[in-house]
Amino acid sequence: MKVKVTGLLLFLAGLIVLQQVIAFGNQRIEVLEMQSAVIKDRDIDPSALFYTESRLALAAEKQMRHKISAAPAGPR
Amino acid sequence: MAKWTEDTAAILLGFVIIALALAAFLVAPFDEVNASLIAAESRAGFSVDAWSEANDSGNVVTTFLSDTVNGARPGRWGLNPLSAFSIDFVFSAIVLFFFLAILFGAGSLLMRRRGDEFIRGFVFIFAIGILAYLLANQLEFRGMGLGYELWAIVLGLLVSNVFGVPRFVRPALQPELYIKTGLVLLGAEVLFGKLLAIGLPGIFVSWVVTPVVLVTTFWFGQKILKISSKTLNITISADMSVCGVSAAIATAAACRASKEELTTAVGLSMIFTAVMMVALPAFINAVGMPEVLGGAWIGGTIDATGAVVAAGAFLGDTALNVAATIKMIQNILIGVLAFAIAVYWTAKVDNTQGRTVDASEIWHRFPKFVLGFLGASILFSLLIEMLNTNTATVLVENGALDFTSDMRGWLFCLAFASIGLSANFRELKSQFHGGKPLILYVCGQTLNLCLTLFMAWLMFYVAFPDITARLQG
Repeated sequence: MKVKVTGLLLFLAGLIVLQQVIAFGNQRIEVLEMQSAVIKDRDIDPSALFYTESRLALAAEKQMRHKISAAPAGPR
Repeated sequence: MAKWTEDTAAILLGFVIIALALAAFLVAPFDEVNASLIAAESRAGFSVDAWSEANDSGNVVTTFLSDTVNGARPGRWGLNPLSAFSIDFVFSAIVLFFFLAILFGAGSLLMRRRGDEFIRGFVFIFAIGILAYLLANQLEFRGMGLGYELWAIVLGLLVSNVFGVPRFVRPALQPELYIKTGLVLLGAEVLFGKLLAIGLPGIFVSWVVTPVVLVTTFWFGQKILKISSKTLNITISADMSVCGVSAAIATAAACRASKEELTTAVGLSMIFTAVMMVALPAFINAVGMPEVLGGAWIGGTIDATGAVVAAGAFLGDTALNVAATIKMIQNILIGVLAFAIAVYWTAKVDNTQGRTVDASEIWHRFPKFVLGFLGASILFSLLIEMLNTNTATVLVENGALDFTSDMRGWLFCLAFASIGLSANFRELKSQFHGGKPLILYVCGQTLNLCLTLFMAWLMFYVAFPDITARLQG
């Protein structure tokens, strides 16, 4: 029983430490701060596995097709 | 009567979900939505996505299905996990639980297993799935891309190694059935019409570099690192070169890799994806690389789509669009990859040396779920081509596929929870013997970074500068 309780407490403590480390990094390290701001502003889910799970990825394809088919080519 | 196996049951269950999605999201609202869309298309400034968002393009049934699958996941939270739960969540979770329990209980019966015992154990696995989604929706974890698949494995391992898995749960521990059904649903998302989204440059960056990196990394693992398990080697190679977790799942199922090998590949992918999502755009920014080149580099090298979008968005809209499109084209490669690996493994690797096998034996050994995966891919690819582009976007991409991809997410989550529950730390630790999987990933990714950058430069700045000019315009 003692092992089970200790294991559970260690797991929960690990989660809290991980969350705090990421939060600290997002506030103190410039590049992480900028990246987390972009993710928040554009409501991106970085864990999306496939393009169908990301609205931005689906929209990106349409914009690419539109740009290639509609706009005249720029100077070489 | 032929015996139902996990493969054939997975095909049946996958197509039951697909049939439900097609009936509810495509057939039922088709006439009404098609007529409204045709009328709206002629108006100035028409945008299909804006139209889709503004108009409830579904009906009571589709709204109910979408809300249930979406709502069964706890919401986002910062410090208080209880804030992630609501009454809607409780209702949706109960409905989804019964749907999946009945569906997979029936699958168990088909495979001559006890359906009632399955449902009892399924309660436990479904609860771990909800906890996995809860942790994935914690704001800091979400921002780093630590998704449900990671948490499902971690929670499963915690239970199995600290508390022990209760006996009543065992009948529901069917990771292969969940994974293979999820892969049949994933097949529906592999749309071959997407291949030409940005013409030849996209194909060269995604479909030429990726197989070269995959084969070279596999060869490196066998000949130089001498990794004893070919299945571990190919799962890591595919996971690193194609598109991360989804490629790892498809490859592991196609070559029958062990659950510990899949867990190792997924763990490596998630760690490196989190690092590369931040490091790669920062480096591109620091050296002043153009957005199109940077976007193509990101799209071809970072594993998960979500992380690709986040890294591309860091650089700007053009980079985001190029990166996401390159990754999407790479995603489509999964279909060919799963089929090729299944054939290669059946005909060559599993074959006793020097022995010739006839076609019937190859067919007997072939993982049949791959046929369901390809069937779903062909069905949806044809469907998209047959429909008007805007109708396909509204009814298929934003409708049926939105539903099947959410269902597929749940099935992968349940699969990883089952994997965690049936694995142990000692077996997992043995996978890392000598650090070879890590070395394989790092060396393969280094080659991937070099080749992708070279090919992106060659395609976008030497061979097709006109396309680059248009993308920048």
